[in-house]
Amino acid sequence: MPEIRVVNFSKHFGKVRAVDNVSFDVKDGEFVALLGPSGCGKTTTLLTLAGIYKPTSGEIYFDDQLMNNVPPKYRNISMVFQNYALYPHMTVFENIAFPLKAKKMSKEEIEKKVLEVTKKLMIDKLLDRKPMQISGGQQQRVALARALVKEPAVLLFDEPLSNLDAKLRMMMRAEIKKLQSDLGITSVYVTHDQAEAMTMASRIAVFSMGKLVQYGTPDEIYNEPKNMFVAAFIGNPPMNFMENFKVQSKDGELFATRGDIMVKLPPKAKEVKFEKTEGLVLGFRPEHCKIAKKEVENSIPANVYVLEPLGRDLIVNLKVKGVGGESELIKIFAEPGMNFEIEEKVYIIPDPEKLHLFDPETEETIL
Amino acid sequence: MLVWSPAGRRGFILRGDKMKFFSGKLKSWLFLSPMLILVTIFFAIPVVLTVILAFTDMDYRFIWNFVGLMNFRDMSTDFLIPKVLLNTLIYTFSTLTLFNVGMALLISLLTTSISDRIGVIFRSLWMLPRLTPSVVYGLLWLWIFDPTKYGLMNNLFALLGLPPQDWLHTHPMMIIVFANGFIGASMGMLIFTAAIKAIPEDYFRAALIDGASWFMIVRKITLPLIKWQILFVTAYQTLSLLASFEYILIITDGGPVYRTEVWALYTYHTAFSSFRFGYGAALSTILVGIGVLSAFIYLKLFGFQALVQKPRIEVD
Amino acid sequence: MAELRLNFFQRNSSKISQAVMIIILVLITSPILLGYAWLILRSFSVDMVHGFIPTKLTLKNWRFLWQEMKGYPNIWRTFLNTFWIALWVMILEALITSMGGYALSRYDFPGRTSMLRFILVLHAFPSISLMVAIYYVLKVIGLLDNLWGIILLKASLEIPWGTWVMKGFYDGIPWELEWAGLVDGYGRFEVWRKIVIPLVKPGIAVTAIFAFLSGWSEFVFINTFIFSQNAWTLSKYVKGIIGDFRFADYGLLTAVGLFYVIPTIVFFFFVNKYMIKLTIGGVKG
Ligand SMILES: Nc1ncnc2c1ncn2[C@@H]1O[C@H](COP(=O)(O)OP(=O)(O)OP(=O)(O)O)[C@@H](O)[C@H]1O
Ligand SMILES: [Mg+2]
Repeated sequence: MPEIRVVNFSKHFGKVRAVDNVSFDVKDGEFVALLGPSGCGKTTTLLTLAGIYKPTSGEIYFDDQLMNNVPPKYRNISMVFQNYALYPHMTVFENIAFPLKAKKMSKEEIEKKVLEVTKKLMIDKLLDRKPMQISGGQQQRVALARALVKEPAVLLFDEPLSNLDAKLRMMMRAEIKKLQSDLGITSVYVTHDQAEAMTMASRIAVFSMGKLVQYGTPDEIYNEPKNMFVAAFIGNPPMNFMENFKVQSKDGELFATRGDIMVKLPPKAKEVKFEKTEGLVLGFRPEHCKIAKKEVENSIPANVYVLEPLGRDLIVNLKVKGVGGESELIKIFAEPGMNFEIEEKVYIIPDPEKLHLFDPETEETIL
Repeated sequence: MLVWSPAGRRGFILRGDKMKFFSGKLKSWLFLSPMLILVTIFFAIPVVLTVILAFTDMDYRFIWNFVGLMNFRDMSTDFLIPKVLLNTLIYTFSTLTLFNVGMALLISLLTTSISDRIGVIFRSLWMLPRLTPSVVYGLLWLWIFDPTKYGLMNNLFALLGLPPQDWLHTHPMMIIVFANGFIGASMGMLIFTAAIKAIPEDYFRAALIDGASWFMIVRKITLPLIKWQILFVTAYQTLSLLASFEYILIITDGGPVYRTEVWALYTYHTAFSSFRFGYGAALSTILVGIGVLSAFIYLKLFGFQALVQKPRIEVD
Repeated sequence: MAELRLNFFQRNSSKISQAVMIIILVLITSPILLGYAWLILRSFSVDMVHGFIPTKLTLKNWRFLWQEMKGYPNIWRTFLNTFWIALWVMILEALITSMGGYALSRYDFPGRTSMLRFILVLHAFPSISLMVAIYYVLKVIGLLDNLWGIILLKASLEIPWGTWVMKGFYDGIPWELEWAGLVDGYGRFEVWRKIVIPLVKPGIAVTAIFAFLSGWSEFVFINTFIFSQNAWTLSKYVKGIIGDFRFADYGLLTAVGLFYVIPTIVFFFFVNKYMIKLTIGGVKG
């Protein structure tokens, strides 16, 4: 299986810069997710890997082979499309056999391979049906079978699960991950669903407006987001932001303060060179806080605004008084067993180790 | 049931269902009436009249004289009819397969496979003949197959060192098939192109990634997916071709010696050169019959319901 | 992954196949290209070599514009006749189809479905096969050898198609706009005139241009139903010139032909993009 390298890749459609100077690599057998909101250039990148588009500039390598001008046919890749792209006039069998027919394999061999892969995906009972006559989940499996049957070196996925209902999506998520690791096929997986990317991929490339914002393991993306965009895009509910904090030192420790709010920063903050110390954005995740009913040191006073019970979890929406009189909305996962009343006064205690500071102008992470 | 109905700008008044129904009907027929009048005079009456005239022996004196089935008996003994039938068959079949469907498919498959900017140019060029006045268009073909050294074909022949040919005498049928074909291809071209463009791009991408060649994509994906359009164009154009004679009239006028005389043109000649209106009408009746019949078959075949949705305003 | 060795043709397969396709397209389109090139070039030249390369430029071929051709009616009178027909076919068709199309698109009346069905049948029906009966109808209503006969006939035959096209344009207008107009207190007729008509202007323009071109180009009906020279149109004129001068004077033929084809070329660029919408109906050969 090849290693994929994308070097300074740009793709422009006329004036639209769909992808702008993106570089990343995918290791042999690795599962990488391209994650980003709609229109950020994920599909464009994937189709360029497939050879459907040619880069406007930059290079695509499979191992050390420059692939820019290699037609799709010679790339030994497969792709699963968002709407599956199953040919409506062909049966399931014919659909899956199509890539093998293109290779001019013998009839017996085609039959053997199709049966093998459809057994594995548990769709061997559907071979005579047309795509219209099977369910969305089954169509998904057929698309997967068509991609796997030619034993490609690289598998490309373009939001393959986005048309399935939530339950089926969770199931297929696990199944695709298992298949990929069993077969060890180098895979690139496009999605706009951060949970999908986090659970499936060994590394995630976060895209925003045609640019690659951050590339790293799910852990890195989650704990050390490069900027506010990544911090907000990953996690559900997203990271809480509070504006207009100052960094102050007191008794040899660093604190972020706003009016009478004062939260302690982690010891590693001392190693940071602050270019500015005022007007910063404080960020913390809903799951990295505690809520106290009584005032404690280094906490943020707030009022309960709305409760969102999720069964196992409870999300407490809180209002914190902002600077100009308007208040900021903060979401926190409450500890199990706690009860709240609307308008009740509580105190947020963020975990100092998991606090972030951002520069609101550049949106870059400071801490 | 009562409906709100705005009456002028004065405000709303309530009106009964009956009233609404009545005036709605009236207004819609008012909108339609000019069309209906003209269509009655120049479509409906002529259809009936054609059939009636077919049972007369009307000539340039326009005397009504019913002769029963005589015209149809004449038809069975008319020594030209077998020749005309054969011509019609050859002309319709070759133009249809070579151009109206064949060439149309070729152009739409090719122009959708290259960049659309260039594709559009070729498709536009193919529309030009259809918009050109028929006499001027006919002139172009008369030049291309001119028997003297001035014609295009004979110039090509001269380049190859061959003597000039009298094309209109050696290959008259070929010329009218070409002339009609270059017009007829455009309808299929537009319909096929639209159909191909409506196929989701991902089908083609998937096929390319799966390693299919251009021919395999055309054969296994594009053609099966536009088969309804192919059927539609075939059916529609068969009828148009059966009834068409304008370009033949201009280019060969059925000649030389009836070698390009097709059914529609024979009808025309019978009526307007020999002034045998009764016999001409009988010949037309056959075409009219085929026309009416096929028109209804198309409707059945190509789903009518899809084309018609109910209006959503209840006010008149 | 094994070293990938592609030869020149495999590496450039998409470029090569594009080039091949364009070459094929040029070849199959060449009769049209050459035909029109010849028409234009020949009309301004004394003679040509190799069929369509002009030798010496001249305006003599255009003499029919300023001097009478023997045995032919005045060219400007013929031109006016042609224009008259085209103009009226256009006016009638624009008016009638924008009314009929609206009724069919927006009113629900008994018989609507049958009416749509009827129009579709007319649409596919080869009206040219009715010429014998039409001759008789024109004779009875006294419009034989009369430009108005041609105008009414031509307009009627194009109307089912035009109505269908206009219905399509009306169908594309959101109902909400009309509802808004009604709620604002206008009557249905006013809503049609003040809100809907401005929105289907492109449709009317396109239908009108096609009607104009179809009236302008008409040949068979003129050839059959018009006898007097002072009612001739350009199609009859050009046909006559072709008959009389075919082997004698290609310069004159092409000049007359080009003169006749000018409006087509002018409008061609405008209507080209709308063709697709209109084809299903306007089928000749
Ligand atoms: N063929 C094209 N021509 C012109 N612009 C295009 C083309 N394909 C994509 N774009 C533009 O490039 C940008 C990136 O598109 P792309 O399809 O890669 O987004 P995406 O990240 O896959 O989004 P989504 O999640 O909606 O699928 C968009 O602004 C899109 O409009
Ligand atoms: Mg996409």
